[in-house]
Amino acid sequence: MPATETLNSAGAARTLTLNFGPQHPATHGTLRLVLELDGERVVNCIPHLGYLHCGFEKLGEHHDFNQFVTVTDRMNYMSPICNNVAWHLSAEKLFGLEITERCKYIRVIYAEMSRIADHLVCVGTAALDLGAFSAFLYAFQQREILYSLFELGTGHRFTCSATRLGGMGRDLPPNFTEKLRYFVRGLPKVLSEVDRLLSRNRIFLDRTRGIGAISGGEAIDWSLSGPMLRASGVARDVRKDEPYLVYDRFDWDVVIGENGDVYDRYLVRLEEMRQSLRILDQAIDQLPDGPVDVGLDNKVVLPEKKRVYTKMEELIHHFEMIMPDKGPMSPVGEAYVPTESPNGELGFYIVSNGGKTPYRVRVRPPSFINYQVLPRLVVGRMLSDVIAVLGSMNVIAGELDR
Amino acid sequence: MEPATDIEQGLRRAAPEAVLDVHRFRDQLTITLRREHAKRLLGFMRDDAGLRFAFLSDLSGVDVVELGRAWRFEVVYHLVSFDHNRRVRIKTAVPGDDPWTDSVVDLWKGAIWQEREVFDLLGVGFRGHPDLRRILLPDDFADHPLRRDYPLRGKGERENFPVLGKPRPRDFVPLFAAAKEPNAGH
Repeated sequence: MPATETLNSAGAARTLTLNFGPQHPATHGTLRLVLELDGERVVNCIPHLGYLHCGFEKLGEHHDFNQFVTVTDRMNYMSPICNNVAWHLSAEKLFGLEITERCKYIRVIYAEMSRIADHLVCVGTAALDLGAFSAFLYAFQQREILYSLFELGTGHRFTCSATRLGGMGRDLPPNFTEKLRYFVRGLPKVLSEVDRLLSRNRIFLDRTRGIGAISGGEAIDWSLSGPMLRASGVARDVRKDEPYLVYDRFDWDVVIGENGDVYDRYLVRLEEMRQSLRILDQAIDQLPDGPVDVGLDNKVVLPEKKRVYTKMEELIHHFEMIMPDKGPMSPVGEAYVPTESPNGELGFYIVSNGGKTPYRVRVRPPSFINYQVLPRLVVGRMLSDVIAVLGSMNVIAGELDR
Repeated sequence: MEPATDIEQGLRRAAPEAVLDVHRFRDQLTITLRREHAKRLLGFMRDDAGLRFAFLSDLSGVDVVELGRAWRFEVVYHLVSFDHNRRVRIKTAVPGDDPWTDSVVDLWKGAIWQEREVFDLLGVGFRGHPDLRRILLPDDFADHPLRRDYPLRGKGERENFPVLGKPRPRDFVPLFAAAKEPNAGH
């Protein structure tokens, strides 16, 4: 961390300008902050972005509705399936497709598994940054089980690309629900261990309580969403208030905090995992049989590969889908479907002029919008609090810069 | 004035000449406004007791040059009302030869970075923005890549990027006088 000592703007006291990042273990990615320090106190904080800018929104104008799902994986790479689901919900809204019941349940199951994986990483690494190593290991061990389940279900551990326009890439494998239920039964014990390690830990409390606090009204003004908004006491969850998929069929609670500080954000994330387990439990019970996609009649779903090689109809269908300038043409219009991703409201705003690819794709990136409040939270506090606040915000650089 | 519950009627009553277009697609309401009135009406929508669109969910921009409209850009606001639990999409029409619109930073602080992003990627200015700099791209970048006339693979920025060459071993100054040739023994 190179530092230079200069006079501050008033010219009175000497302040230190510290370049924090872009390569620093506590930034969890390539974030860069320019901190102006008076002793250990932060006088000014300027975030610099764009180190991972890849032009995802521009790419969206050149990929069709199934190809772009692989790009959405790379946005919030901690919970890729939440991005997949958000992308195809917006795309299906644009097409006017009604997906099957089984597909809705499978998407809920994957999305909640992703939420748990994301929160586990956030809680684990936030504690690690504050010096608590054990919680990190407990969390990552559970995440490993989840990634094995993703691999079983979708074929990939990290960038799953699980959804397709009008359905899923593949159905759940036969033994998936038993393995998932085994995980759902086992996780509460680990969560309570993490809880016991951290929630009443003197050092953890001193480092997190009252740090980076923001009130509910101010959180709305800053467009915060997800755990950051709920920790400030605003009971707003897209899954509850604007239910998509089948979230209105489950019995679960929206978790809210009181003070909106680092500690409340940690508690909200911890409790949200328990609520996700409740949703998973009910979703496995209710999981209906049936097809996972809308079928071949709408001409949006690729036929089964085995039949493409052996049947003429399916071969023609396959070619009509994948040849250039052929395939599912989107209707003229625009659509936006909000979803609750682990970090907040995630949605894709798609504008279409009737082509095979969208005319414009806009991501509503929760990390980007949540991150801009950071200077407000850390100015006037100590340098070590920057780490605590950054860890509690769970900024994912891939989604931040896109 | 009594609270407006219908969004379109409320806007037409507040400023009849401001509404350019009202569009409904898949149950999602989109209202396009003239830029001269946009900020005042967005403030009206935030504060009116019947509307209460207090949450700015998303602010983005679209280059509509190929969609055959009378303007080049649209700045898109997705507003949410927590009190009445509904959403609306408001657009501001921005002409291409003079691309600016009024900043909504003093209505919602959450717009600060999102307006910077629209400025960066589309080149639409925001009048009254406190800190309008590029955000995702380097400060010396010349173009606005989300415009439709910008090619997908760029205009050669990647090829012509100034690269610092790797120093050759003989360019190193030996740290110690006794140091041998770096490649000796190989």
